[in-house]
Amino acid sequence: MSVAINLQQVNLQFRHYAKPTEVLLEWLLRKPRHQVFHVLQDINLSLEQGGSLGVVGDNGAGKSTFLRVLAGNLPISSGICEIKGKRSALLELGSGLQPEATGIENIRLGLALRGLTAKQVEIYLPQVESFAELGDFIHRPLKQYSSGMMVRLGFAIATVIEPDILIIDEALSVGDQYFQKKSLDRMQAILHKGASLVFCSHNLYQVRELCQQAIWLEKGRIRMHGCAQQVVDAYQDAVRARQAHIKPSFQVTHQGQPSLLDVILLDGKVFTTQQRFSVQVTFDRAGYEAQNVHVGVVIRRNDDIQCYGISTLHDKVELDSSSQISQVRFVLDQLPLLSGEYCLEVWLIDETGLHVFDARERCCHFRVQQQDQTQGIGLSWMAHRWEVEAVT
Amino acid sequence: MNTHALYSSLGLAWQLLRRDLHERHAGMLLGTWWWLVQPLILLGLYTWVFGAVLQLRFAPHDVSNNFSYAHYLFAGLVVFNAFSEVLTRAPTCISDRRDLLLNTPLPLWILPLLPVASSIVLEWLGLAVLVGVLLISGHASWSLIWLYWPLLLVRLVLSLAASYSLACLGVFLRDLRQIMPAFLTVLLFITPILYPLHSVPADYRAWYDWNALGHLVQAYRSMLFEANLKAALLMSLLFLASVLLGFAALLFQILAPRVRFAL
Repeated sequence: MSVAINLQQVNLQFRHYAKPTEVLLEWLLRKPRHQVFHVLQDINLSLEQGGSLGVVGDNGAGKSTFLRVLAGNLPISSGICEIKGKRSALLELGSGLQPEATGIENIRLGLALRGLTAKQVEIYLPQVESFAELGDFIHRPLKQYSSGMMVRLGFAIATVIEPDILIIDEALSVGDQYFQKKSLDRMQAILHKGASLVFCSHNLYQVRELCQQAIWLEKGRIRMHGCAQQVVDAYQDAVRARQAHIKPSFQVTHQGQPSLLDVILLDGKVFTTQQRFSVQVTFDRAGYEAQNVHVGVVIRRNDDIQCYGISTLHDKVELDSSSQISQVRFVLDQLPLLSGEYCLEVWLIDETGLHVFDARERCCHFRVQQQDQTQGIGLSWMAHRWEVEAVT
Repeated sequence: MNTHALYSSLGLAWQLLRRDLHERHAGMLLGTWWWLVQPLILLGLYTWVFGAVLQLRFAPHDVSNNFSYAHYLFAGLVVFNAFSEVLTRAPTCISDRRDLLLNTPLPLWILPLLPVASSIVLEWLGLAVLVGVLLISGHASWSLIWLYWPLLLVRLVLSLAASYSLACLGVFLRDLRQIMPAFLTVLLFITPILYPLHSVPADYRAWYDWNALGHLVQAYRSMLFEANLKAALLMSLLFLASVLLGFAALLFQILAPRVRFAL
């Protein structure tokens, strides 16, 4: 397999000038008159042909800049950036589209920008039109489009030419469910044909599903690079850890949302079947009434099977109303789970059970061991008895 | 650059030009007719003020002159309008496409071609009207068909030089877009377009030799009304324009990598 993307020690600095004229003065006077911003630093990465790379990170971490570099829109300041094959990018919402032009005109322009000759443009035009499914809107100027329609058009233009490298920024999440499904299918189809994909999204689930590897960008550097599952988990953990460190102040809390502060297992991380199991959840009601905030706990096995889930709402448990920050413990005196790797999902929900204030997925990993097979096989010990009688 | 890349770049320039021409008058009552209406209104105004009121004549010595003040004026305006199209559009042609430049691999060098391309459209529309009038009155010479191209070449090289230098400077000197309309008014009056060169007092005549646009306008008129190609003049104009274009290209090459920082 050949390498599609090869980045070595890529740095990207952006110069900030107080006024446009300063650029001219700097050239004439030969003296620096700018501040330097390091947008990307020391990026080393290689992606094989047919591989897929997810990009995660906070806002301002350099994700969009990174994608622009891959798309060839931004020249790097130093390092090696080799990209083989036709590439096509769908960057932030509406970028590269002309608001005054109609859908058709934007398709023509977008395809020409991706290196198609006038003849090729006319060949692909109907395909883009039918994929975008915009009906009569295709003849109207883009300023009349909703953001979802804009994404449809942008995605259709970016993917119609079946690039060797497809670069997609978070834009997709704006589309409706139908089009999201359609575009994910299209991306997967392009991947199956041997193209490479670089995908950036705040929808970490999609990153995990679609990408083999992932990078986590932080302040312009790669903080972690590895298999998508691991990187996404690590990133999620870091985000949660940061959220937990934010101490609630009472002036703000009544405007904020209830949030989970801490979830811990009280009896260690390795259990034996029938042993006591308890988890302690600390949460902040953020000014909401005690009867309007409920805690749900779900136990999952590592193959994603939901073993059991229940909430204080369904069990009609009254939570403490004396302070904003309260604790609740979920206790199983005799853990019925059989051997396996498990983790928890903890939810903070409202009194209808529909609205989720806060959630932690895949936290508190724990293992269950069995003493021996006498406790049975499968997922869980079930209360049972045998009835024996003779047949005459 | 390989041929495919060049081809697709030109295709891209074509798409941008189409948009540009269409967008200019889109949604207006007269639409694309503005391309003709605007110059014709000015032509009528100038003809009345300078031809009828001030009684200016372009060829007083020629007894059997078939051409009126309006003819000469229109010939001059065709060149001037084409040139002013370049001078007014060039300073903003890069910053207007900020979004495309930052978000797509749009090659920067294409953009200064657009004002020049639309100036050709403008010039051809004007010439079509003028030659149409000449044909009807039976004064058009068939030799115009080949006499025209050397003039267009000189005009284009000069326009390209102006467009490339103004386009990159306009990114950094935002004042240029304000200065240009005023400069064009000055240029219109210091160039013998509204009045004939021979009506200029001898004391000032020497200054007029420095005005390349004035020479070009004269060359267009000789071509249109006398079917006469001023070859020597055109060669020297072409030489001058090529040198200017060389400087413009150099300037563009130096400033192009810095454009991103000022957008």
